Amino acid sequence: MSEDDRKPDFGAFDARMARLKAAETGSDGKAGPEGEPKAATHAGLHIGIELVAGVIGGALLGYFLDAWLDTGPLWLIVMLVLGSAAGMLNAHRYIKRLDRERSDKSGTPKAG
Amino acid sequence: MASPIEQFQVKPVLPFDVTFTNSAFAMAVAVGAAYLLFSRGMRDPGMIPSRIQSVCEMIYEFVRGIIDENVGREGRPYLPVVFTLFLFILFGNLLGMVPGFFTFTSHIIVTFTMAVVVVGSVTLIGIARHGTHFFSLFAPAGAPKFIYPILVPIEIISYLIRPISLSVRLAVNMTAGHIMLKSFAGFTVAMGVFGILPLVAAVGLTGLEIVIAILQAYVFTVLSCLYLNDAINLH
Amino acid sequence: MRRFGSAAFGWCVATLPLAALAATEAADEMVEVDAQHAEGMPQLDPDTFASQIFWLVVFFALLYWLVSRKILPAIEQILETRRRRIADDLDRAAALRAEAEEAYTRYESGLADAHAAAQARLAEVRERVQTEQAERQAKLDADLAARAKEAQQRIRAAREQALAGIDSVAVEAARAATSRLIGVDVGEDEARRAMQAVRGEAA
Repeated sequence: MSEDDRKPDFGAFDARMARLKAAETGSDGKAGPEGEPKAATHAGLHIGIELVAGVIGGALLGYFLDAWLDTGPLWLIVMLVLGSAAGMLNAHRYIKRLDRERSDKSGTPKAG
Repeated sequence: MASPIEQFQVKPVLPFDVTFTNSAFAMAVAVGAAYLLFSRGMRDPGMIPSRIQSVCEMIYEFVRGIIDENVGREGRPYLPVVFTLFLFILFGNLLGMVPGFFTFTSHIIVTFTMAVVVVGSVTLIGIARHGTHFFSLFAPAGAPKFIYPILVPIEIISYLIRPISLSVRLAVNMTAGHIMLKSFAGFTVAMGVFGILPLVAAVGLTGLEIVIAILQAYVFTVLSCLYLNDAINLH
Repeated sequence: MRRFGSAAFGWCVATLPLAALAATEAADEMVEVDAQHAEGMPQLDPDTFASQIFWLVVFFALLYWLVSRKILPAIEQILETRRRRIADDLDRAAALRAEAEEAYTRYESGLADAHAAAQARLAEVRERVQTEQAERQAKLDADLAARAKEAQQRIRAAREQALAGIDSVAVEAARAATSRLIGVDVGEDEARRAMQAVRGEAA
C-alpha cells in the first residue's frame, strides 16, 4: 500500500471530460455532410447542363419576347447569345465552387 | 341559351385537368413512405436511438448540415422547407427504383415547378431582406462600369435560368438512368442465355442509380441552399 | 423570419394554380405542334402538366405540413433532450470530480494531522520514559551511595573495635612479657600509654 496507490488519477479523467465537452459542442456546430462524391462524369454533366440550360433559357426568353413584341427573330438571336453567355457564367461559377471545395477539403475546413 | 338538357352535362369544375394519375399516385406513396419512416422512427424516441430512429436523425442532421454549411445560422428558419424538399425528391427518386413504380422526378414539369418555387421564394426572401439592394446581385462588384450593359443582362439571365438548370439536371438524371436500366433489362430478355451480361450490367447500374437518386436529391437541396445563401448574404 | 419564409413559400404555392392554368392554355396552343411528334418523350406532353403541377402542390404541401408539424418537432425534441442529458451528465461528472478531489484533500490533510499527532505523542512518551529512567537512576545511585557509606562506617567501627581488642591483648601481652622478663609489674594504664606511643611512632 504505497502512497501512489491511493492517489486518484484526475489527469485521465480531465482529459476524457475535455474530449466529451468538445464532442458535445462540436455536434451542435458543424455536422456537415462529407460532401458529394464529385466524380468527373458528375461534374461534366453538371457543367453541360448549365450550358444547355443557358441556351434553352435564352431561346425561350427570346421566343416569348418576339411573340410579345412581334419583333421577328431579333430577340431570339440576342437572347440566345446572352443565354449562352449566362450558361457559361453559371458553369464558370460551378467550376470555381468545385475548386474551392476541393481546396477546402485538402486544406483547412472553411469557417462559415 | 342552349338546350334545356345541357344543365345535366357532366363537366370539370376546375378550369384545368386534375386527373389522379400514376404520377400523382407515386407522389402520394412518396409522401406516405416518408411519413411512415419518420413516424415509425420517432414513435417512441429513445435516448439511445433505435436503428430506424438513427436513420431519421441522420437525415435530419444531414439536411441541417447542408443549411449550416451553405447558408449559415440565418438559414435555420428555412429548415422545414428545405427538409421537405429533400425528403420529397429523395423519396421520389428512390421510389422510382422500385420496379413498376413511376418516377415523378423524371418529369421536367414537376422538377421545374419545384425549381420555380424555390427560386421564386428565394427571390422574394432576398427582396424582403435587402429591398432594392437585392438587385446588386446582378451587378458584380469589381467589374468595370462600362461592361455593365453587357454584364447585367447576362447576370439577370443567369439568374433566370437557375430554375431551368436546376430542374433539367434532376429530370435528365432520373430519365437517363431509367432509360438505361430499362434498355439493359430489355437486352437481358432479348439475348436469352447471353442475357447474363446485360443482367450483370443492370445490377451494377441499379446500384449506381440508387447512388444517383440520393446524390441528385442532395444536389437539388444544396443548390437551393446556395441560392438562398445568395439572397440572404448577398455575396 | 421563419414566418416570412413560410409566407414566401405559401405565396409561390398559391400562385401555382395560376401557373397550371397558364400551362393548360399553352398546352392547348401547342396541341397541333405536338401532334406531329406524339411518339416523343412523355415528359414533353403538355397535356399532363396541369395535373402533375396540381398534385405536386397538393402532396408537397402535405409533406411540408407533416414535416413542420410532426417530423421536425419530434426530432428536434429528442435531439434537444439528448443534448441536455449529456450536458447534465457532464456537469454531474464535473461536480463529482470536485467532490472526489475535496474528499481526497480532506483525507490527505487528516492523514497528515494524524501523523503529526502520533509523532507528538511518541515524543512525549519517549521524554517521560527518559525522565522516569533518570529519576530511578538517581534514586538508585543515592541509595547505593548511602549503603556504601553505611558499610564503610561499619567497617571502620569494626576495625576500631578490632583495634581496640588488639590493644587490650597487646597491653596484656606486654605486661605479662614485662613481668616475666624483667619482673616489673607494669600498670595497665602505663602499658597502654606506652603501646599507644609505640603505635604512634609506627604509624
